Amino acid sequence: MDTKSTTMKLCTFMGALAGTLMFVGIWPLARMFPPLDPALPVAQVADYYRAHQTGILVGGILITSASVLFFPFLAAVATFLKKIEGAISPLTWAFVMIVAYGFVTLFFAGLFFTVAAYRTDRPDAEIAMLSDIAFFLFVMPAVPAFVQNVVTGVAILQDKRARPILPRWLGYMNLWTGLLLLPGFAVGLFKTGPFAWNGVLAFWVPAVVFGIWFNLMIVAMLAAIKRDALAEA
Amino acid sequence: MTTAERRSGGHVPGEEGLWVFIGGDLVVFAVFFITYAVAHRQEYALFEASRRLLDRQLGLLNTPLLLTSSLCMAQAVAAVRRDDRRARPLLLATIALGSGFVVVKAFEYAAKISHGFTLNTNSFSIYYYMFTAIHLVHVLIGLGVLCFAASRFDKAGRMPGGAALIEGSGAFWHLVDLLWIVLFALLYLL
Repeated sequence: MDTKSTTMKLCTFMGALAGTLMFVGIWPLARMFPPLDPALPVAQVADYYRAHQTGILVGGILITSASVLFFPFLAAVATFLKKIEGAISPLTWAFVMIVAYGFVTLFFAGLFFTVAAYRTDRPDAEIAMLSDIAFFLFVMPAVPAFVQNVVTGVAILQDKRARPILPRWLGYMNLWTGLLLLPGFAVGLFKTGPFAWNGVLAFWVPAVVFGIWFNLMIVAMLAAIKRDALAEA
Repeated sequence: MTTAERRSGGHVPGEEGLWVFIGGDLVVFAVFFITYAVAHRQEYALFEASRRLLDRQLGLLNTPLLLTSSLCMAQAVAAVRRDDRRARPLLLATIALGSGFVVVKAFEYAAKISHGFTLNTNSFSIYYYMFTAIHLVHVLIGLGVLCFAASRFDKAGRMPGGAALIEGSGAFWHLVDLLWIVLFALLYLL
């Protein structure tokens, strides 16, 4: 195995690490999984931050760290897309630009969780506002995620090689993932129901689908690296 | 592709990828419908009371509009396949009926909103507005696709080599129709 495929492997595993850090940060540490109820009164939101201050602050460190570790993984995806597209690669460029702001929101979500928990003597309304911003940053980028998945799916399916660089099922899976993530776009309209930021359609389905997508991407990419697909014609 | 090849079985109308997209869309709506069914069980009385506020006449009017448009669509696909000049008027009729659906929907929304039944009135209204609006976006996309297809006819009213385009547009339009049938039954009737 040469240096390049080792680097690709490392980048891919970086994604697994990022996913784990994000999940540990948001779930057992910050206890924001499932998210706070958007219909919760301002005073109770503030009390939640006061009661879980340390967990949220440590969780914030993990979430912000995870956000940057996603990028080597996304770079590995982009490398595959570039290989598929060849010299003229608009979808790869689109992918790179979309993830550059679509995943940065995760850093800011961690940052706003941190700021909200940082000074517990803040007025309730301020803590609740910072909390709202954190949750919107966490759930609302459904549209960039949708476009990112569509771009990835189309690029993979465009591959006309007898043996495609990435398997075709992965392309289809990206299209379906994109569609199922999309209902998060309307979280600003609701405080209850399936389209609110803790709702079945805006949160649970996207969270589960993202988890499945993420793991299958890693498996498929590692398989492609193992057979040295990037060195093929 | 010749007619003989088409009839030999194994022919996928339109593009293979389109069917995967349609499958994905059906998965999304299946998840929507299950969510609705669960909520309906949990808040039975509220859902039943709110459902009675919906305008069944307008909903009922929209159903034959879409069904007839789907029929015209199917006839248009068949006409393009046999190189028949009636394809274009049939496709335009599909577009007209589909546009009628949008107009009726606009009147329905306007009436509901003026009666104070809005997006966040209760948990039923969230489902009603979001599901029908997401469906309406499908209708609008479908109309866009059909208009594009309608622009592909030559001066003689034929579409040489346009079978894949018209079949793909048709498949998407039937999806829009199918989703409405389920939505109508679920929200207005059941």
